Parts: sequence; C-alpha cells; structure tokens
Amino acid sequence: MTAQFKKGVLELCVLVLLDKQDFYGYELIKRITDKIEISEGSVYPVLRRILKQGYCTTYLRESTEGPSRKYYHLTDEGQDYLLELKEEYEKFTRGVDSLMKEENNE
Amino acid sequence: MNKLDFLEELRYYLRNLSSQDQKEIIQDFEEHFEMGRSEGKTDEEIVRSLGSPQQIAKDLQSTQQYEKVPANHSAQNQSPRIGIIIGLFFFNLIIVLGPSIGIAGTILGIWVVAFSFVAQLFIAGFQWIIHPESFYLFELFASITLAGSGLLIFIVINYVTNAAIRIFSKYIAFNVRLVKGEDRA
Repeated sequence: MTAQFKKGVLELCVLVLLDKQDFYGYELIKRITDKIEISEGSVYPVLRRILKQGYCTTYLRESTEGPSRKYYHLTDEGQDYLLELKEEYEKFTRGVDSLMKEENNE
Repeated sequence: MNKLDFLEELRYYLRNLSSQDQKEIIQDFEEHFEMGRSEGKTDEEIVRSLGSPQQIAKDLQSTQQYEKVPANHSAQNQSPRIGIIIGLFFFNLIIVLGPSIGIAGTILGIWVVAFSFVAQLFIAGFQWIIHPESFYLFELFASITLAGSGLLIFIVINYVTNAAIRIFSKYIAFNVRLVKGEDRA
C-alpha cells in the first residue's frame, strides 16, 4: 500500500511540474527531491509510464554544456489525467484531514 | 558501487524487456550520470541517491503492462476486469466446479470408509460381549485387520485432505488476485 501510494503521489508531482513547463529528467528529479524525500531513480519509471500511456511526449534539445537533453512535454490527455488525479488527491487528503481532526476531538 | 556496476545490475534485472526499451532506459540513466557529474558529484554519490537498481527495474517492469492500454484510461480500466470476472465465473462453473465437487465427494467418501473400518471393531467387540457363543476368533482377526487398514487410510486421507485444502485456497487467492488486478502498479 505505502509503495503504491508513494508511486501515485509521485506521478501527481511529475504531472504537476510538467503542467507548468517542459523539463528534462534530471531537472525534474531535482525539483521533486528538493521537496520530497525519495530515491531519484524512482522518478524514471514514472516518466516511462506516463510516456507509454500517452500523457507526455519527449523531444531532444541540444544544450550548451554536455550532451543533448531529453525533454518531457505534457499532452492534452496528460492534462486531463492530471485534473482527474488532482481531484482524487484532494478528496483523499480532505478525508484524511477530517479523520485526524475527529481523532483529536475525542 | 560505481556507474558501470549500477548500469550492469540494472541491465541484468531488465533483461526480459525489449532491447529497444532497455536501450532507452539505459540512455536515460547515462544522461543522469552525465548531469550529476557536471554538477561535481561523484559516481558513488549519484548511485546512492538513485537507489537500488533492482527496485527501479521492478518499477520499470510494472510500466510494461500499460503499453497496450489505449490513452483513454478511465473507462477501460474497468472493462477488462469485468471481462475477467465473467470469464472466470464461467470457467469455474463449467470446468472447475464439477471436478472439484467430485474430488471433495471422493475425499469425504474415503473418510467415511476409514471411519467405518475403525468403528466396526467396536461393533464386533460389542457383539462378542453379547453373543460370545456365536463369535469366531477368525471374525475378531478380520475385524482387527480391517480396523488397522482403517487407521492407515486415516493417515493417508488426512494428508490428502490437507493438500486439497491448500490447493483450493491457493486457487481462490489466485482468483481474487485476478479479479482485483493487484499486479497493476
């Protein structure tokens, strides 16, 4: 459950970031690991999954330093999916919050 | 562990993916190492923050099942499961149910036989007490032999019953897993 849960939340984080702008893998991972403690490697499976499901596309762009980078871009389906996930997540956290409040009142 | 060890291990755990997938995944991680190095990180540091290659490979394997799934996810997530449930129902009804009842009946029958083999010894003993004049020693020996074989059958059928219950519960668990679709990550 916990691993499953983390995976779901991680997917949400990736989609939220990609909704703002295109990222290449390393940058995206840094953004996430700045805020959440996860192993960096676990982001790549999420990226591949959303790529295979058509929620994002990739393109290569040359960089001034080092090799060309693989950028991820959110598709329209990805945006729809993100909205759905967000809604689910908010419903979920609202539920957990209210449960915790009930606990405190007892 | 250095970069080569990491990629080697990852490649090993991904060996049953297509070579195209393997290539793309390895490329992603090569890029990751390059970026980390350009920030002045050592390979060891990068490997440490990446986490276990085995776990990463496991996550990557579970993405495979999404490949054949078309983009519109909300409805079709349910429909194959309904198909599985209906298929499973008829499969169980037609192919599994009959033989299962047959096997269960046979096992029950053997229990009854074993029990009656043992029980007849008491009846024979009882008969000996009531009508000792019409009782032959031969009958006593035959009765004891029968009771002995009854006990042996008990041992065997007990083992068989346990095995059958184990198999049955495993099959039930397998059905539940299929219906719930737990393997979906």
